[in-house]
Parts: sequence; C-alpha cells; structure tokens
Amino acid sequence: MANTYYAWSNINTGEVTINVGKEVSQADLDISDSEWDDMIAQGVVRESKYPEGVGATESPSGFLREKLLKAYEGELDDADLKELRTSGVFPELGVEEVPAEAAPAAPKASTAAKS
Amino acid sequence: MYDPSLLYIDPVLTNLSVGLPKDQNYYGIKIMPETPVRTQSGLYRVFDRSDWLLTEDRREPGTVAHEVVGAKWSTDNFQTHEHSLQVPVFDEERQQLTSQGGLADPVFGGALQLDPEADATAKVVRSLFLNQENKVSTLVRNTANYPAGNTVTLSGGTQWDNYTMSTPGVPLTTSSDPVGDILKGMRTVYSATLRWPNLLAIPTLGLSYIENHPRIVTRFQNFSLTIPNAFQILTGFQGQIVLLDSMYNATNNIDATPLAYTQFWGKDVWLGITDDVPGLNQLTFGKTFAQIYPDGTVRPTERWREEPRKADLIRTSYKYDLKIVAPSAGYLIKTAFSATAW
Repeated sequence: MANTYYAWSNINTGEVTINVGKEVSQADLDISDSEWDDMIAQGVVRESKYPEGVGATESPSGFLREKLLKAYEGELDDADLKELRTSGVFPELGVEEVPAEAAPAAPKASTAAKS
Repeated sequence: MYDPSLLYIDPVLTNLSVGLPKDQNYYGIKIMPETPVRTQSGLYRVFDRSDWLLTEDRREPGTVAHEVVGAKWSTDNFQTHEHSLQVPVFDEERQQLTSQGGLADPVFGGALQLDPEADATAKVVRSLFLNQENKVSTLVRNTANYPAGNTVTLSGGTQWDNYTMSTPGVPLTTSSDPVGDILKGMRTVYSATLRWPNLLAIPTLGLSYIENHPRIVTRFQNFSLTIPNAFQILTGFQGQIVLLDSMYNATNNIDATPLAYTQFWGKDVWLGITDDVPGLNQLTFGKTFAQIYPDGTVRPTERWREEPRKADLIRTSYKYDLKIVAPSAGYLIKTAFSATAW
C-alpha cells in the first residue's frame, strides 16, 4: 500500500495547486517519478502530517520546537510527544514505534508444536 | 653525438596549472548576517505586536480614560558552538620544497607559487566557510522553517525554464511567471512585516532562463539590458540581487571520479529581509550569532609549534549559532527551475 504524503509547502504545477497541509500524491500532481522523489527528498511532501495550530507567521519547526521545550519541562502528554516524534522535524527524538497491537501477528510456534 | 631526447627534461610550467578556483563566494552570511556576541549563549527579546493594537480611546465626561496595555515580550535563545579546523605544515614539506630537486628549485621553474603556510591558512578558512554555507543553505531551503504562506514549490509548467505557451505565439499564456512569483513573495513578506524584502537570491545558472523568459521579453521589448539595475527592473525586485553559485564536492574523496559537484542552493530562489547591523525591534529573517574571541575577532587563526611532530600547526576557529529569528521575513520558491535546466 502506498504511503500517504502531506504538503509542507504550497505546490503549484500550473494545472493543480495544493495548499500546505493537504494530503497529496504523485498522481495528484501528475509528475514523473524523479520529480516526486525529489519533492520527498527536499521535504516538500512528507509522510508526517503538517502540525495543527501553527500560527500564520510561525514556522512548523518553530512551533514544534516550542512544544519540545514544553516536553522537557514536563508540560506535554504522551499524545503531544508522539506528534513530535512522527513529525520528522526532530530526528534526535527517534521514530515512533509501531504499537504492538498494530503489528502483524506472529505465527504461534508453541501451538504448532502441540498439535 | 648525443641522442637529443636525452638532452632534454620537460619543464613544469609555472604560469599554468589545472584545478578548481580555490576561492568561492559564500552567500549564507548574506542571508543570515553575522551578529557578534560576547557570550557563548544568551537570549534576545521578541516583542509582541501590542504597538499595532487598536485601543478604545473615547472618554465620556467624568470617566477615567482607557489605559493602554503595556508591551510584553518573550525571549528566544542562541547557543554558539565552536567549529574549528587545523592543518599541520611539516618541516619536511619546506625542506623538500626548497631542496635541490624540490619544486621550488629554479631548475623546475621556481616555486610554483606553493606557499605551505598561506595555503594551509586559506584551506582551513575555506573549509569552515564551506561548512557554514552548507548549514545555512540547509536551513534556508527547508520548507519547515517557513510559515504556511511563505513557501511555494513550482512544478511542471510553472517552473521558470518552462516556456510552454498554452496559446502558441502568445507569451502571456505561459504558466510560468517569474515576475509574478517574485512579486507574490514580496507581497507576502511585506504584509507580515511592513517592510519590502531587500535581498533576492537566485541560482546563477537560472539567470539566463529568466532573462529570456517570454513574459519578460514581452514585458520589456523596448528595454535595454545595459541600463543600470536592468535585472532589478526586469524582475520587479528593487533590493539587492545575489546570484548563487557556491558548491561542494559531494564525493567526499578527492581521488574519486567522477567528481560530484553539488550546488548548495540547488534550484531554489529565496527572497527576504536581512539586516547586517544588529538593532532593536528588527524583523530580519536570520542571524549568525558569532561569539567574539579574546583577540577581538570572530574567526581567529592561531599558529603554534609542535616539536615532536616537527610541524607548525595552523588553526582557525569560529564559534557560531545559526538562528531563524523571523520566519515570516523570508519567502522560499522551491524548484523554481526544473531538474533538467542544468
């Protein structure tokens, strides 16, 4: 299944205009594989959602940095920390781990041995 | 009597050698000007916008006048880190260079303009600037560092090297519009700061695409490029325009082939407000906070002797922090030119 990407910049192809924060795909933009890969490499489109609540004159990195500071001061809950980790803006925080219940079920070797 | 070929040794030319230009222009320091500071870390104030608030001022007889709410501020911080490089010049280098048979010997045409000390100093300074250019360009070209309205990515027909006209022969029907894109960026910055951008940075190799763009050619059919500031008038931008051409060798191996020259600034265009001189209540896009060393400079070069190694060490240090202090004072046009433009 293809990954979901979000625009971290307004994108204008002449035919299509995508605003910041919108979900976007290569097909939406009708661009070549290399152009799409370049957009991913340059951070124009990212797998992480554009953060909600960013002010009109504020950058998402500044907004998330403020949150990070609050995290250090113990003012953030788990949901906020998860948003920071999945944003991709602060790789030093590490990646968000896949919850155990969402992981594919492993074969039950012990059951097979019994039968 | 003798074989002529034995009577001759090819000389090394002293007025010609092949290599990259040793020095480049760096633009990071223009976009994020240096602000000398006397401390390793510190704070700067960010004032609120209370100065532009509308305050009820009507006073009825016998009542007390409304009071104006005082200004507030928050603080942001900087934290400089030292960047320092050194290079040894060994005694053997000088000895060999000036020995009989050494490249400085007149037999080989003289010193070949090799100066180990001067070259070593230039190399460490150059390497520090290259790293700084890399850091600044990475910051400036990252869309996450701009408010939502301050960045646009051009693709396909809107890129400035795409001259395709939807109605053949009618220049104003191109989807790409360099002047329109730049003016939109200027309006965006102005509306957030009440100041027009004073710096426009364009990749050098994109210049010819702009000059020959059908919309621009049409707009200025009776316009001479020889008049002063022609390019500023062509683009509609009235500030300083810098042409970006700095690059680095991405192979990270001086013997690897082919060489991979990578341009720090890619195919992006940036415009915004920069202030070289620190001041109060400034709205400048970014700063390079540089701590002053005890000798009064921000990039001192030291030289000392290491006798066990029989070498003189040359070191340059630079303690700085790069900070985007007003993101709304910048506007980024990503991939203004297509991947195939150059």
